[in-house]
Amino acid sequence: MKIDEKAIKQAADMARLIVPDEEASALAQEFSQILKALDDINVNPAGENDSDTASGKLESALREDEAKPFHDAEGLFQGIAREKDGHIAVPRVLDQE
Amino acid sequence: MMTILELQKGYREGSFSVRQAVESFLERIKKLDQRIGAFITVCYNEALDQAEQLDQRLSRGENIGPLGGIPVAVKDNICTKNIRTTCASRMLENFVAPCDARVVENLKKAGAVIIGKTNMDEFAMGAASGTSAYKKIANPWNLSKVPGGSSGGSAAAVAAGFAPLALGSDTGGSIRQPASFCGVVGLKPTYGAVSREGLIAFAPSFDTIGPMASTVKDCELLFNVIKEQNQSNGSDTEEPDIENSHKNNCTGAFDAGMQNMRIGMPKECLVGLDQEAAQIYLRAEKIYRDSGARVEWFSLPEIDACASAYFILSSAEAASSLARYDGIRYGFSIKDPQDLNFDDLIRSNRTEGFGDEVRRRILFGTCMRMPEFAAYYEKAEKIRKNIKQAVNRLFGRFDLILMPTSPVLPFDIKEKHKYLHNENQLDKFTAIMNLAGIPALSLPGGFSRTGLPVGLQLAGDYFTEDKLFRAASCLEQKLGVYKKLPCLEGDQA
Repeated sequence: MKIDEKAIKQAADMARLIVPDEEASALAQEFSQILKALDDINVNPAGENDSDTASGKLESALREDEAKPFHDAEGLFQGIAREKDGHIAVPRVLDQE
Repeated sequence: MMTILELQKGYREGSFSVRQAVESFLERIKKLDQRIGAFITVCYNEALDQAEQLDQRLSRGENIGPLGGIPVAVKDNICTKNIRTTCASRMLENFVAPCDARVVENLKKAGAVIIGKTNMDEFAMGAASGTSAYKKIANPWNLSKVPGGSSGGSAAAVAAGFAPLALGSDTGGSIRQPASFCGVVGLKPTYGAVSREGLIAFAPSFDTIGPMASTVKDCELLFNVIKEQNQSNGSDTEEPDIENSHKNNCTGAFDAGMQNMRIGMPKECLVGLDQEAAQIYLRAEKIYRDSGARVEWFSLPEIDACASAYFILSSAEAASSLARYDGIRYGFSIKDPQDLNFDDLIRSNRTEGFGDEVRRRILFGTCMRMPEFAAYYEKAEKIRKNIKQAVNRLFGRFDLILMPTSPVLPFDIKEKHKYLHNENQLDKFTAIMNLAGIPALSLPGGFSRTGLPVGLQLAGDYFTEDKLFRAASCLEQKLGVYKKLPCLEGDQA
């Protein structure tokens, strides 16, 4: 299966990126080659048991998602793009008519 | 360059202070890093302040910790409080994290001195350190060659003597491949053995933080400080026992030798392997046989499928991980956004903020998440499951697997484009461990005729880093490669 320019443009739209036509054409060719490499690989169907759990060695254990108070507002503000009157300033979200 | 134990002995005996030692590392960076490009940020003031505090504690007779006064370079995708974390991207050029990553907290508790943040491939995507938005990185052994990637700055920093220890991250080989190219030791721990908290995500089901050092023993000392204590599963649930980390190491096991250790060598590794790298690989086989190990060649056909599966799965995860960067609250934002609507503003921020390679992987990963290409994603997942099953079977038969780290020698910086889009070749021997989640260590195996380092790789079953250290130490002692240092122009050290 090939990835064509239309798919690249669709992916760019989903990923919120701008891709010029000539770049889309080159990427389509390159990505199709990557898929071709996978087409050429024969895969044995995986066993019915999931390998992680079958081995008994790994299990998905997660920490409790506990809310912790975070008081370092100054630290948080070090990374922001713009600040106005002690708040994070963001561009206008709604377009002006 | 002094090892950690030699530095610590000097501190204890008062031969030199922590400040004097840290100053000498900082001076070396100032003098030589312009030509290497290992660092994005050097923490001159912070490191000296911390060194003085440690000297005061020493003068009061206090224990300054298992890494007390040891400078550590930290890859710039690991968050550090009050020090910017850029991921070598324009997108995060001015980003300062509000808190330290868990591994950085652990380093500080152990008394380590953060000396700087190292250069890397942008968002850890690359295998030559050629995608940094800031500057290229040169290999200290030959400045016209790449240092490998993506942790190229961390590997180069250790090789050039800028820091005795460094942290890197490994998603498909990003610690081991640069360790091999720069002639240092690098460990990709078992997935989950070291906390990812505070590591800026590339592909979270693969990403692993790990140690880099000049010697196996130093690498182990750093690993013992950053590893989590509950190693019975793939999570990171308990605080590391830093106070006792020096007791937890398997340094004693270094003397245990290789008697009856079962080592497997995959035949497939010889296909397409550089000739000089093959000679070094076969020499390691002989050393292990002579040391009493039971070495056996076997077939691992799954290797051929690894790089393709890895690229599909990691790109799909990257597309999701990097979706958060829109330049609205933080991150790169274009200068004059007045004429743009909100969507176009985000598109412009992301298109200009990310470099070519990052955009390429986001686009490929997004394609793999589209319904029409779902079969490829599923096939890659199936390959991953098959690899895990194959690995589980293997470690019933062998204690360790011995492989080359890279199929090629460090190549010219000018040739980086030849390899940039040819991940299949460069990740060939490393991505399999990330797909399976098992630990693997690269150590210097020797040098090519032109003086370029060649790495060897040992992989083990889940949470058997102790065996890796033992086997690597045996090889290191027999080869004596670690005693050789690169000679940098103007270097009086």
